[in-house]
Amino acid sequence: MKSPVVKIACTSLLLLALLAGAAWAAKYVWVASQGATLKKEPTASSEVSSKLALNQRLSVLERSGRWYRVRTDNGRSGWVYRGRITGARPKKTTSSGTKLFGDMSSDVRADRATTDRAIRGLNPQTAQYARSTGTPEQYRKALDNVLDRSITQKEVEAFLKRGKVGEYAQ
Amino acid sequence: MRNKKKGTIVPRSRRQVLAGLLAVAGTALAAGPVLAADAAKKKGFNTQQLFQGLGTILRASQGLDYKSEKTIGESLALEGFKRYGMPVEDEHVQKFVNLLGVSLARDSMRPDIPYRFVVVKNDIKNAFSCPGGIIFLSSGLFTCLKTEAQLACVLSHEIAHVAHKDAIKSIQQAQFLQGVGTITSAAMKGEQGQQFKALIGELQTTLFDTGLSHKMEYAADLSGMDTAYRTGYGPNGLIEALQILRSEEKGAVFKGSWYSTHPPLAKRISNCSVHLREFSDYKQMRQSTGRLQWYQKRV
Repeated sequence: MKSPVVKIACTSLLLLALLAGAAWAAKYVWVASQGATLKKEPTASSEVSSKLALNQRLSVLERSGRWYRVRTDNGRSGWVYRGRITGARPKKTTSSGTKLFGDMSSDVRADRATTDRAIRGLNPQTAQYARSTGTPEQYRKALDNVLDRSITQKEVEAFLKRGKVGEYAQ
Repeated sequence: MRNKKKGTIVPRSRRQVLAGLLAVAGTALAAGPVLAADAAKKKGFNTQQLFQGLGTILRASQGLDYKSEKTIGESLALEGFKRYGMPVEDEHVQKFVNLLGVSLARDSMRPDIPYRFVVVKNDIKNAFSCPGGIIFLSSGLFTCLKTEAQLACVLSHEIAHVAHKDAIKSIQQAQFLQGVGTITSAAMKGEQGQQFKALIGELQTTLFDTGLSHKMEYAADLSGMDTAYRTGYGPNGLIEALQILRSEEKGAVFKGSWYSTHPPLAKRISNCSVHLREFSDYKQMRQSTGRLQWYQKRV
């Protein structure tokens, strides 16, 4: 049997550990959404005070409904919608150099835009696969059209606003 | 267990929750939070170092660069058109699905790659995702859904497969990937070219016929619900979509459909129902916007 002193010490240590962990967990959040912004007020229509980078660390200052007032490491503070942040440090991905908004085939588009308009989006290796498998051109064009359909961040915001979704919900 | 009280932040995945809990525990037991975070970072680095040199299989699943992943995905997409048909010829429909999909993708576990969504003309109810971010949705599945939240959850489920790199993991033993970190034009010729075709064939069998592992599907369901919720859609949409599929299961075409490529609906509905309890304010999330039906009529 352990003595009461040891029991109390162990319990205190455990409680301290849990409290320390909880305090740390509550202190920071990370930007988990592409194109997230800091706003001056906790509303979607509020003015944007600055843009946030993916995986950027933020200190939580307070919460109001689904909005968090946060401060960046360089001292800027503002409000961010809860869907744009995560409570757990994000994992680094292996897709460096890519981005959500924009061209899916930027690595090949520049030199093909004027010379091969019909299948401008397929990367050379895919085009090679298509040739080697005798893939009819209609499928290659279909894929090219799919790759060509890029969506901008502005369009996403307008889409969510029209549907009153997320931070635009009333 | 997570407890998503109203107004709390949703971690992007169960893994992240676990990682977060481990980090918190580590923090609590170590000298301080910052030190523990640094330790975790160092641990991750060391783990990565440890794995280096363990062989090409690991590289095949985790080290394949994005460009190569995209090459595999685009090649598979070509086969997808052959198998499931051409895109629905309506720019409004395609734009709508892409707007919804990208809105979700930016809040997903992998928000830093470009995604493309395409509705193909086919009555079979199916959706699948190609590595790199091209996601197919059949017109049969698109038109049977009732709300935007249901569609959002189906797309989020597919986005989760891309984020988890499930398709790539399912072929990590493929001969072509042994020793390949980057797919170059040279790697597409001769013997290797044949191996690449075999790899795409293997992926077709997996994604179009047999399906990914049940474990991957269940994980994608839960991640999909999380993503839809983060964007602002009711995560209950996935349960409703699965219930619609179940109600239409009798007499449905199984081959090449969600019925044959995904686990039993009852089990998925059950899993998702348990997960839904963690979203205490899900009823306040957007279920319907009234615009889906307009697009469905155009298909």
